[in-house]
Amino acid sequence: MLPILSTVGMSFWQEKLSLKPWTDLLFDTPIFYRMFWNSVFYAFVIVILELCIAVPCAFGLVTAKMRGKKIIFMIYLILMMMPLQVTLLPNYIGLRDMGLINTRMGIILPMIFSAFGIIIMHQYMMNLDEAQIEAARLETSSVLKVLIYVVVAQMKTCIIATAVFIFAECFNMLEQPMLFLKDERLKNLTVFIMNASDYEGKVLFPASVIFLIPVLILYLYFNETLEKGIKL
Amino acid sequence: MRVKKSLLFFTLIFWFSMIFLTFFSRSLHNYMLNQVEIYQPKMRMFSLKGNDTEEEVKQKCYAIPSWMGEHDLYVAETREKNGEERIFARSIQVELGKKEGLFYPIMSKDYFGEPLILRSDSVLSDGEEIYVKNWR
Repeated sequence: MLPILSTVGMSFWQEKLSLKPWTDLLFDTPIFYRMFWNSVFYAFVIVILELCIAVPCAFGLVTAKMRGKKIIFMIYLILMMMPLQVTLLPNYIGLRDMGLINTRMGIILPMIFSAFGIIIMHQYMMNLDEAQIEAARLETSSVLKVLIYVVVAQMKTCIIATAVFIFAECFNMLEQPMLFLKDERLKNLTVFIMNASDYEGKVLFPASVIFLIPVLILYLYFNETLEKGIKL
Repeated sequence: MRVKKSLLFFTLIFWFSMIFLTFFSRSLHNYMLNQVEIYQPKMRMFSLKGNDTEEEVKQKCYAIPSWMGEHDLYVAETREKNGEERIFARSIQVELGKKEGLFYPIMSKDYFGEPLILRSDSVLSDGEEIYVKNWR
C-alpha cells in the first residue's frame, strides 16, 4: 500500500505542494489520452476474444473423448510456465511474416491465444457436474447450446475472475508494445509511463495514479468474485 | 451497499472525466495559454544611407509598424513539445533603421521574416507557449 500512497503523494509535489504535474499531464500531454485509450482498447478486446477462445477450448479438452487430451493440456501448462521473453521472439517472427508488426492486431493476436485462460477454465470445468452436462446433451444435439446454457451459466464467477486477471495482465503489458509497435500512436499507457522522462513536466506520477485506477476499480468491484473464482 | 454506490459513483466520474478530457483537454489548454495575434512583416522599399557614403540607396527591407518598434519584439515559432508541434514566443533584438512614414525597416541580417507578435492578452515572456488566434 505504501508505494501506491507515495505515488499519489508525489503526483501532487513539484518542489512544493502543487497541481502542476496534473495540469501538465491532463492539459499539456495529449498523447497520454491516446495511449490510455489504447490500453483500454487492447485490454477489452483481448479479454473478450480470449474468453471466446478459452471457454470452448477448455470445454473441448474436458468433455471430448479423444486421445492425447492430457498431452495437449500438458503443452498448455508448459506454455503458461514459459517466461514471456522466451515467446516474444518467435511471436515477433510470426507477426513479421504475417505483416502484422506495427499494427493493433500484432498486439491482440498473440495474447488471445494465451494458455492462462484455458488452464483456469479447464480446471474449473473439471469440477462441474458431469451428469448435468450429459443430461443437457440428451436434450439437445447442439454443443454450443450445452456450452452456453449449462457450462457458462455455472462458470460465471470463474469467467469474471479470469476476465479480471486477463484485463490486468493486458492493461499492464509492456514488452509486446515495445517490441511489436513502432508508431507512438499505437502504444499503450505502460510505454508512456516507461518513457515519461521524454515528456515535459513531471508527468510520471500522475500518469501512474491514473494507470492504477481501472485495475483498482475492477478489483474493488469483483474482489469477492475473484476469491471464489480462483478456488479451483 | 454504500461502498458499492460510492465505487460506482467514482467509476462513473473517472470514465466521464477521461472521455471529457480526451475531447476537450486541447481546447482547455489553448484557453489557458496567452492568446496572441501575429503580424507577418512584408518587404517594403526604404531609402537607406550607405555604410561609407552619405548617399541614399533604395533597399527592400522587412517593415514593421512604427508603434511596434517602440516595444519589445517577439516572434512566434513552432517547436515540438510532448510529441506535437506547438507555438512559442521568442524574444528578438533587431536593429531598426530610420522611420519612414508609418514603418521602421528591420536592418538586422538575422531576421528572416518570422511572424511577429502583434498583441497579446497578457505580458509575454521569452519561451512561453502561446495560442495564436490568426495562425494560418
